[in-house]
Amino acid sequence: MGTINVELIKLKRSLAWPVVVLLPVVLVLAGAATQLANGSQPQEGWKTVWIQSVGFYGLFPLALGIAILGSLVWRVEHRGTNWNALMSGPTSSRRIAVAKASVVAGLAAVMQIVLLVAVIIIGKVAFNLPGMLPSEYLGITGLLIVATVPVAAAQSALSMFLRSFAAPVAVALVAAGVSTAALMAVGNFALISPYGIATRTALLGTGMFVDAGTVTGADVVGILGSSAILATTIIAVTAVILERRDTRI
Amino acid sequence: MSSTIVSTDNLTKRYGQRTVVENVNLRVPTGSVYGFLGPNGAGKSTTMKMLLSLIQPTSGEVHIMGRPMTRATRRGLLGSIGSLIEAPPGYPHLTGAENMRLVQRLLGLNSQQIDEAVRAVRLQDQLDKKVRNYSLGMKQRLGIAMALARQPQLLILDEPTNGLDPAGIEEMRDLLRHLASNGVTVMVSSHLLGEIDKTANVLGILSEGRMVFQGGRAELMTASNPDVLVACSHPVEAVSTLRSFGARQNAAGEVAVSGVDDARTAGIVAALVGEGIGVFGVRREEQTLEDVFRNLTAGGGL
Amino acid sequence: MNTRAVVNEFAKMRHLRVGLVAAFMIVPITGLSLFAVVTNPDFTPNAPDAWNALLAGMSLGIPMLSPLLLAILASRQTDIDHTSNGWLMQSASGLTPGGVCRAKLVALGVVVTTTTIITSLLVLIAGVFMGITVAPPIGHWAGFTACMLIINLSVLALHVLLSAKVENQLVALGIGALGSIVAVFSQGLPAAAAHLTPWGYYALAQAAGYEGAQIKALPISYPSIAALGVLVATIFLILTYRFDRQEA
Repeated sequence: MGTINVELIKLKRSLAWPVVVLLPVVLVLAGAATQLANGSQPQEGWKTVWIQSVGFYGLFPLALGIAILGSLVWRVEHRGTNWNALMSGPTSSRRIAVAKASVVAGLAAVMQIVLLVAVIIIGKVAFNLPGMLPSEYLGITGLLIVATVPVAAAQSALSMFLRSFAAPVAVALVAAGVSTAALMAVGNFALISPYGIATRTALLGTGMFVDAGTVTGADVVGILGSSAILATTIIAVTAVILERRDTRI
Repeated sequence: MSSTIVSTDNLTKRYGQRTVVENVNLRVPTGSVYGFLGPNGAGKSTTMKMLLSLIQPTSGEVHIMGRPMTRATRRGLLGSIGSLIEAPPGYPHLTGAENMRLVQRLLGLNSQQIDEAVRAVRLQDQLDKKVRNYSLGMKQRLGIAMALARQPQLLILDEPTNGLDPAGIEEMRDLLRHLASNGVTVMVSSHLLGEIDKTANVLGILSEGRMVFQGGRAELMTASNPDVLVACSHPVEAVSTLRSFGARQNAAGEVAVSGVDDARTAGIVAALVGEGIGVFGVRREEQTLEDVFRNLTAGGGL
Repeated sequence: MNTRAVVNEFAKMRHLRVGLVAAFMIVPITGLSLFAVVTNPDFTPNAPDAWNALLAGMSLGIPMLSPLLLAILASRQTDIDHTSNGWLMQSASGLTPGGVCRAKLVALGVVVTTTTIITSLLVLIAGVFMGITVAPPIGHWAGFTACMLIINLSVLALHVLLSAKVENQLVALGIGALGSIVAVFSQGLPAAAAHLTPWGYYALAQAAGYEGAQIKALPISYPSIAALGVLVATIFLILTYRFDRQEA
């Protein structure tokens, strides 16, 4: 826990929070933009608002946002001689890997919550929709929080190995694209990719691309299972590599 | 060429309410090695940047090689000025050779000039390594090679021995002397007072933005007025005789008197002899540059 | 001096894997552009408007990926000067920061021009290979490519300025990511709103799109794009001249 507190302190005054808030908000606004401009109402109420906000989000902006968070979290370690300071401290590589991945995953989780809140706000305030967002979407948000953990771990690993900020972001873009294509081609087999899991979860219930429109138990189990396995594997491998690697200047 | 290669008139730089450099009148004689000293935060880097027109002065003028140094004239002048300020430059993802080629292209130099510069800092065997794999000392030498490549008439170096080992520091000292003997004026700022003491023949001391001393080393020593030390047979009595001069005994048993010029010194000796005290040695205390520096800059520290 | 500075920027690109980013600008965009067409079961090569499907694909593919990739290009090329005291080194050799930025834009601009044109050509060639029998609408195609190029270069110029001014490159990348989103969604906005951001202009340069269930060729607002080009060029020149006067 102490390690995670340390990581949170390193995030002070960083740009992580603007990213966490801005990305979902912009997407929700963008999704609603056409209707706001026309003054029209979303066709199927909450469902439309959800789909237009989250549908595109799941394709690659989600992965991009997490990639940027990953780069931000590791940025300080790559400056100056901070890497030496990190590796010559008493904290084990495993704890460092877990702590960093947890922070990225935590920030990603906050991002999903912001997304949920933004959808609710825009539904109530902009469109005056009656009632509340159906609870299945709250469930999907929860699932999304779990589903983004593997991506967070993967991006944390990438940002650890690569000193450049832009490279992990570029990888996320490509990986998200490839995973989406794979999802369309081979369906749920693409769940072996962290990006595939995130995209698939975001698309749950939307009826877009690979989604059938209803959330099945099989989908949920597949997502939860893959997330757990991938997350643990990625973090474990990261820790091992961190432990064995020589620091390079 | 005039005898001063760098001269500034009432050079001042203000940032808002803070005055970082105030009314500095630099005079760097051509062909000298000018040691630019001062505690941290005294304004040395700022002054050097103004000399290179990287910062524009709030008031005052800079003249280099007899011509005013402004945004308009700097292109022409910078080709004859080599500099190394702050961290050594060098793109880490490129090799040493590739970095030198960037400078070569910017200034239109030929490969012989590059080779000579690289050889002068003994970096010729490290040129194919990426700069990110250089040690701090190698990066420093690369920076100096970049400054030397244009065969400048004036070299402005901020802490050139930073990161160098004793052998490297000695090589640097020889290099600077060699350059000076070939007519290159070198302006060096440093914290290593011992080094500056050995290399520079003209000194400028900056403290809190103001020039507190500028001149030759000998002048500095006399201006700082070291104590007169009298070795005598009865130090205790001597001290009481000389009480009005504020005399005291030092660790070696000598009588030390501060702030007396030569005339007064003669008077002191006469007074002691008059009291029947045997005087067998009168000398001025050997002050090191460090002592003088500390007194002048009132102990401005790390 | 200026040509030398530009050659230097190309020299700095070594080991930066600019080639890789450029490849990303060509291959995925071409792929995306062809994707919708290739997977569409209704696609008939013999239809008179067959080319519109490809144009529509490009009209979506380019705005989706370019903003972020342009941000990455500009960021990598500029960040190296932040981390290595490069601005100071070049200033002390007489090349002002503004001049360095101008050189970067020229060097990167060459790369971006090449990738944009190659992408356009590849999609054209792919169309021929897919057996489209109708003659391609060369005028419309060329106009579209030129407009996309102007917008790409404008976004690139703004990113060079941003990466030079703000040392934390994640700001530039974040804005690049946002740009991709804005670019895609601007297609659904009224034209007036699309004029507000530089990425909106991608929507104004759309060559073909769905009207109802049909893909139709759309008119490109050439005056708006030209205005963007002029505006950004002016801003770029003004700001780089201000950088020249900036203190070290």
